Amino acid sequence: MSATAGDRLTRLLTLVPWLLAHDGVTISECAAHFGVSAEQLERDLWLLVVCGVPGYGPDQLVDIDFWDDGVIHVLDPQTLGQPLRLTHEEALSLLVALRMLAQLPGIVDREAIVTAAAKIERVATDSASDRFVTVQVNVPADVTSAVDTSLAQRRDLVLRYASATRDEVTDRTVQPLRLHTIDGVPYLEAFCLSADAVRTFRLDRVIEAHVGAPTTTPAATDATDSNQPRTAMLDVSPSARWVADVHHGRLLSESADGSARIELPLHSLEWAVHLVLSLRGAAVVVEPADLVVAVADEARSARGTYA
Amino acid sequence: MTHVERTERLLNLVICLMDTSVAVSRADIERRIPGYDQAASPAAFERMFERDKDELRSMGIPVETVAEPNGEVLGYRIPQDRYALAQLDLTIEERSAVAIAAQVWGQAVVAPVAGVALRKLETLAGDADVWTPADLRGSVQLTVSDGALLPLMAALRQDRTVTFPYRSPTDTEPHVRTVSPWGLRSSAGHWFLVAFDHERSAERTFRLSRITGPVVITGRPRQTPPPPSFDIAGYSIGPTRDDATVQAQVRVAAGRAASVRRRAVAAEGVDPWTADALTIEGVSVDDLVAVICGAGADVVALAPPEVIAGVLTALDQLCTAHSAGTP
Repeated sequence: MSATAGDRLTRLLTLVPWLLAHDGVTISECAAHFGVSAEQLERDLWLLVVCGVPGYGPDQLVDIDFWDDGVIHVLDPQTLGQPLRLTHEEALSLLVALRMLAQLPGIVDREAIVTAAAKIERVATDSASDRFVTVQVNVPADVTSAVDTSLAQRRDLVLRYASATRDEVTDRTVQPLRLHTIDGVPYLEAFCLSADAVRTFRLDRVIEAHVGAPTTTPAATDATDSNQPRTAMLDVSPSARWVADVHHGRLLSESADGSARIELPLHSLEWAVHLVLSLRGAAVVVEPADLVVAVADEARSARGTYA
Repeated sequence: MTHVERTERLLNLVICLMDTSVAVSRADIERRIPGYDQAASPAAFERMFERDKDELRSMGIPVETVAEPNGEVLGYRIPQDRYALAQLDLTIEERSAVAIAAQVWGQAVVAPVAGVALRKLETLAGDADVWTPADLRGSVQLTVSDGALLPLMAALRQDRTVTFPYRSPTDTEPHVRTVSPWGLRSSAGHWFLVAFDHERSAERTFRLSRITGPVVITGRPRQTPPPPSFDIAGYSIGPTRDDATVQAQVRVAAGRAASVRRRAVAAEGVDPWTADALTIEGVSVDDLVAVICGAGADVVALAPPEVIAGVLTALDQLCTAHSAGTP
């Protein structure tokens, strides 16, 4: 990373008190902890020992011993012995993550997360408060607690699940395996007894969850339902360009009138049919051919339900 | 002037301003701190010092101006008690929680910032404790791929107006927007900015993923602050069920069309997840047509006539546009 003067100064001011508190740490340990190379850290230390209070005599400089076996001792920090208070961005970076973690299932000590966030908020500016920056995971509290319990006690989980890829509502009994949270969206990987395979459930699409019987058979962990990733190509009018945004697609080309050709990850054929139909003609499938056929079939079949 | 020399000058300035209990005058700063003597003229020194002072303040360092009652500036200082991070007294469990929080940013632009915060908190706790990330049953990752989050956080704190190029869903080209940030919200993984838009003279919601270039923090203070009762968590983003004005009657296939069932109007004795006939609501006829079309043959619109007509038009268009692919 090409650091600005400010970035480097932040590191230097953070480094001195940290080294005081971790006396005898080695250059390589410290460099790894701060995410810089050993060479960069040595350059930082060399810079520190030529700085101090005006006069810059021997007793007025920052004094750090780092030439014996790569072990670092701060002998005189001058005025830099304490860490600088957290900046607004630093406090928020932790608060945003803590506010998300507090809402996730699978967290062992939720109380500690809440109290840690409260202590950091106390030393942060008012604009870091939850009134101005908030994170919503959108999983109902009773679903979170049911997933917690089933993971902790190794019990089955009975779900009513609204699938977006298949646009259906199903009741399933699953054996939870693990949770992954990506960008604030929690996914539960579980062995589904109805499908007899491992499935991934988006927890914000779980309508209801109840803790079931103790899990008897050891859940299989190797089977997965992931297919080869496919993509779809669509021609969209200006009113439907948002689709690329929302569904993590990309723009391939665009014309003067604002219409565009976009590429989308194809999660499943059913999901894509559902999406294209809901766009009411503002998006036309170019590829793949099986999706074009599926859209045409479903549209015709839906049309057939009306006289 | 290279970065190394500027860092050295800034570091000496910080130490010098912290070392005084009264104030250090500009003349002393110019004469005694290495680097300022390189200024070609008094005006060049003034510019250099002003920039340095701004840089330190933007890093959160409390550089105070000490003035006489008559307004004459005596000098500057950094009070140690305002500089230093207050003791937080985090418990072992809380330290674990903070350690995992700093990790969840992964490779995102925010990660180094969280890292610095963690180093500072570790320093306060002393060397005796190891910060073990809290026990998690799985992995957690926050990725904000765009760089807009940090400058927007900074603008919020500084009460500044910002500008950024933004491409709304219907725009073909990005337009530069000038807004006063009110709050930031992440919902189901998407980040939104709620702000007062100066061109439109109204509140607007912006999706961070649609900001196409750098966020510039202007020198102008935020002219339109949020109302005192503002709370981003309760602020509605985009159309919500509260805005629902149009209803339709539909028939729904068993176990199907979750997206339509979600829109059901609550009714006595009707479980929206199992019923085969429902009344649903939306913000407009188009909105209902989109939801009904999306479900394909699983949902049939029964009323009102304008919704049925909209569905038929859309389905005909879809059939025509995709007919080339059918045998």
